[in-house]
Amino acid sequence: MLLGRLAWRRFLNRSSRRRPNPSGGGSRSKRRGTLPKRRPKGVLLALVAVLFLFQSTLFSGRTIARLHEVVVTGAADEVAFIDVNFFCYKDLERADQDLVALRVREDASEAERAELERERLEKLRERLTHALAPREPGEPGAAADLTPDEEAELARRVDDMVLRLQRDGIRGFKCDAFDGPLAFLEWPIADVQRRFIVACAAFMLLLWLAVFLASMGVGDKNLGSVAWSMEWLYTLPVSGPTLAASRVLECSLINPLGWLTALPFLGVLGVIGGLGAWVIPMALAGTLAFNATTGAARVVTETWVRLRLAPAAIKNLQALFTLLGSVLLFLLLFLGMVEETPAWIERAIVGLPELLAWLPWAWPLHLARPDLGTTSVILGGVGVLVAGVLAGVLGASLTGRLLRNGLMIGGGAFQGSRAAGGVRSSSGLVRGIPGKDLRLLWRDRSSLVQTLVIPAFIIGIQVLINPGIIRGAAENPGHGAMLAFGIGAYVLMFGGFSVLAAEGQSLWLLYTFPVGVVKMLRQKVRLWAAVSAGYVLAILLLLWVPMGSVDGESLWRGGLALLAILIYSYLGVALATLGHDPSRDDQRKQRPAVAYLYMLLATMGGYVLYNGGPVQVVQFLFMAGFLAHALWQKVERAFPYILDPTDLPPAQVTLADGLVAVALFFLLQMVVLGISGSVRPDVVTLAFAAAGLLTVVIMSINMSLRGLSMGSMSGRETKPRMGSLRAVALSVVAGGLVGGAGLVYLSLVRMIPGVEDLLDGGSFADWADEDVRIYLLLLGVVLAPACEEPIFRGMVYRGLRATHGVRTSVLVSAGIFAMVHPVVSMVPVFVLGVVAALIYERTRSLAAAILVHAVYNAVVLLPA
Amino acid sequence: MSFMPSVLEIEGLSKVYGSFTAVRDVSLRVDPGEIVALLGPNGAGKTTTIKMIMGILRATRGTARVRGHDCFADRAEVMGHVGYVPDDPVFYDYLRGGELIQFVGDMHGLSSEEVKERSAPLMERLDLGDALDEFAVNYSRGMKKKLGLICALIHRPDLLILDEPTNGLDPFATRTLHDLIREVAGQGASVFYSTHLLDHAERVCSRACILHEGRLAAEGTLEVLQQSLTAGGSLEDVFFQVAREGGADPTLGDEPS
Repeated sequence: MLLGRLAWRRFLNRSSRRRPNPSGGGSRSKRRGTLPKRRPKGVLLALVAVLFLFQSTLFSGRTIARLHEVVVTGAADEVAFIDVNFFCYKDLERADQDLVALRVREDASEAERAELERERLEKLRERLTHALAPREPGEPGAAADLTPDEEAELARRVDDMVLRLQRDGIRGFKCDAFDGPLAFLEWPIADVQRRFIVACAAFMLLLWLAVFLASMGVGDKNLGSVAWSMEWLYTLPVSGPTLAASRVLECSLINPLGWLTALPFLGVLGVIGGLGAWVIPMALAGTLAFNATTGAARVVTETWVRLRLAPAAIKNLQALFTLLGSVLLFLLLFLGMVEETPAWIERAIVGLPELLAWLPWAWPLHLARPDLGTTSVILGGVGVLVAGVLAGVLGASLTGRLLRNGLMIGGGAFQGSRAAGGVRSSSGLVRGIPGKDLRLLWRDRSSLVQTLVIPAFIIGIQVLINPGIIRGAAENPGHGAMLAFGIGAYVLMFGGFSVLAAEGQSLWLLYTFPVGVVKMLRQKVRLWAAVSAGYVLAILLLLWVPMGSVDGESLWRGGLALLAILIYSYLGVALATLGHDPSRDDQRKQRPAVAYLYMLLATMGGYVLYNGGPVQVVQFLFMAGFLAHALWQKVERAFPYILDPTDLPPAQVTLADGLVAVALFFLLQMVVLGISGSVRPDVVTLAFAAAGLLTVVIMSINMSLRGLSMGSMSGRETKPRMGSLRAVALSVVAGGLVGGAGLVYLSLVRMIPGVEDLLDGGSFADWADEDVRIYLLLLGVVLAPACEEPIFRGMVYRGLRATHGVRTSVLVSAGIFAMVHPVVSMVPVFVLGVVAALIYERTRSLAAAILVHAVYNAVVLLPA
Repeated sequence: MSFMPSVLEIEGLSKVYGSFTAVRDVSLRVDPGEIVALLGPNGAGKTTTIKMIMGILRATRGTARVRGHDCFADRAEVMGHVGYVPDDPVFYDYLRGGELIQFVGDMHGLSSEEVKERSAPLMERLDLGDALDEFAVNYSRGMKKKLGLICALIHRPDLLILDEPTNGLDPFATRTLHDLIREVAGQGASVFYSTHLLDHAERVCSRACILHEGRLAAEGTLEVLQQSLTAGGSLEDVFFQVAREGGADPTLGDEPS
């Protein structure tokens, strides 16, 4: 009982966001727990888990299909199968079952049975003829008229199949539809069933090894940190084996990697084995046993390693575990990903010894056999569970034996040399924050491997297994850029993301230096930008050098990949910092949702680099840059508060709010237009109005939830600086002037040949018709200013002004404003953005900015 | 009383964690060359006060200033004047002691020679010299404290802030620490340290502030405290007197509750 409660409590503590009191509570003080800064994100975590489970299930399906395919192809030399499609296979299977049932019927005479068999085969012949007959093109279901030759050929094929069925039964056929989705997965025919189980058992064995190694790797706190949880537990009045058993139980239940890999794998096998509802208990029992064996092995190894090795040596060993585990996992994933199974894997699978089918890892697989009855499955499931428990008990007793001489037989805290030395002077390169970080990374071998070695290794393995990949990447510029960016983004994911986690409990030290903490953070970003850019450059060169020459597209895509990785290093570190919580213990400091968001952004970046046009890529990079900048602004505001468990920076409009509003505005427009499916002027006007209104309302609600008033949205929190009459006059004059200039610019631009092509569908040019003029004016003079000004001036500009001077804020906000307009009008819209922002700054009134915008649009649109 | 400007000035400082008030309206000042002890039972708000001076926590109300710079808003500026050793200094596990000292020196803009020159005598006195090639992960608590002290003194701060400095130190190191504190004060810097060990405070401090449940319950030179509260008793008597009353002595007038 105690064990269970301990394990459960630990699980709860690790998964909840409860935090300890900032300082020890005195017995007399009436101290209550402090309020956490953020609300729990359990829902998001669950969502991510479900998503992973789903992906993992799809992956298991593909892998099993692959194994099946290899097994069946491998056996094809011995059994000459007739290849049939899925539907024929099902017909044949049914006929085979019927025939077998017929032959053992007692109530019919020999002659009657022969008659029935003949009837059954005739029916099959009809169905097969129908299924195999060529179809009239364009008319599914209708059989084409056949020439006599074709008819004879078809009849011969059908006869062959019927004869074969009579001779070999269903085993003489091979269904060729295994590559499709899960529905087409089949339990293999009896001939190769054993081989299939052997192949799956080998996969499970490797998976077990990978999960074991990976869970001993970077994620293992008991190996990675100085404190060993056993040290405290050992002081409790519980015997060594009992403690070990509690740890085994903990490792068996809390093994995300095991749950995410073994459970879907067994589940898919159970489904294709036809277990029905029994799949769930079968897969759960199998996974529990799987996790129990991993857990037991892990606890034994962990204890042995902690007892025998010094902390630094443990780090190196852990690095090895990480490397082997990652590579093995990658290889297993590769089996499901690759287009065509490499020949050596095929040979290896076919040549597996039968003995593997009896290894414990294969036991749950036998349960999925469709020829087993329910009772056997239940009994087998219980057996598998019992085996798991036995493995756990064995692990616990082994660990108990290891602990029989106490916890500290490996020596005390002092190990290694204590040679007299002084303060060593550091060379110029490794001074300060980057020097310290590099030194720590170099000594933390497991992080080093995870961050810098594995990406190189994965590329290396890909090249070894599939040399074509490099050739393909070199020949397709988008492919190469994406590959380089992807590896760079991976390096950032582990390196850049850990800039704060690497500080650990020593973060306080940074706060004692006479240097701004954000400045130190920026040094860290530069370090990781340099490292990841180095990887990008190295991969690009690896691809380009063998080709001898580089074409223009490769060059610009590669260059933009390099630029993208620099932007992403700021983006990644900013995200990691915002998702970092130093008051949590080491392993849970990073919110997983933030890492997931980063992965999403990185995927988007890779995709755009892969097949975006030049304008698209540049636009994307601009937006990513703005996002990075907005997040940095948040970091700069939040960072001084990061060690304060309860305090947050004062609420303020930030650039991030502005970007969210812009994104929301366009998303909503697209949604409304998508629902109506029309680009008629009245619909567009309505979509625009609805989107604008919704955005302003949503952002206002968001503001008021954060304690900012509606007034701050419309700029009324500060008093207008100018008399309203003067403001109106100024706005009208400014709007008129900019509008006039814009009109001149647009008419000049239209004279350039070819520019008309750029004015595609969405522009106002198509709206010149008198009937829709009213919509045009409504949209341009009323709606656009009223919706866009609160967003671009009220949020983007104000957000920038929170930390920037007038000049930068005006230019950047006008730049964002121009970016979301059609190319042809970008220049005048930029000028409008500048003027509107300046007038907003001068008058502190959003109404004035709206007026400028309205006058501008009126001037530009009226003569049209 | 002093004609020199104060090194540390705290005015109406308060910190509220959610619904719990850890520090309540504390005001005090530390002049150059002074050794001021911050006394109080566990959970009285000593560490919270120190963390607000260090700019790690933001004061809910009131201000703390070092040499006129606000401790939260101008943190970087303040840190140039302050040396700090927390109660439980945690260092990077796999940095050697010597490398840590060099790193701290780098961050304070000192050259390698300066760092060597300044740290050598400190290491000698604190008997840490032969452990400098050791990874910090292998340091005992007392060794970490000593290392923290060297790091805090390396840039010759105007104000040394120590949180429970004698925790984990052996009697030899405790005596060395007290000598060091007196020396630092003798050179014109101020020392502000928290402790709940009254005899230690009695031995070195020139002035004491007693915190009780977040309030400044009593403040003054040792003689003043002893005479006004317990008529010639030890600091321990003063402390228990304050704790029993659960608040300030009105005659001291610093913080009527």
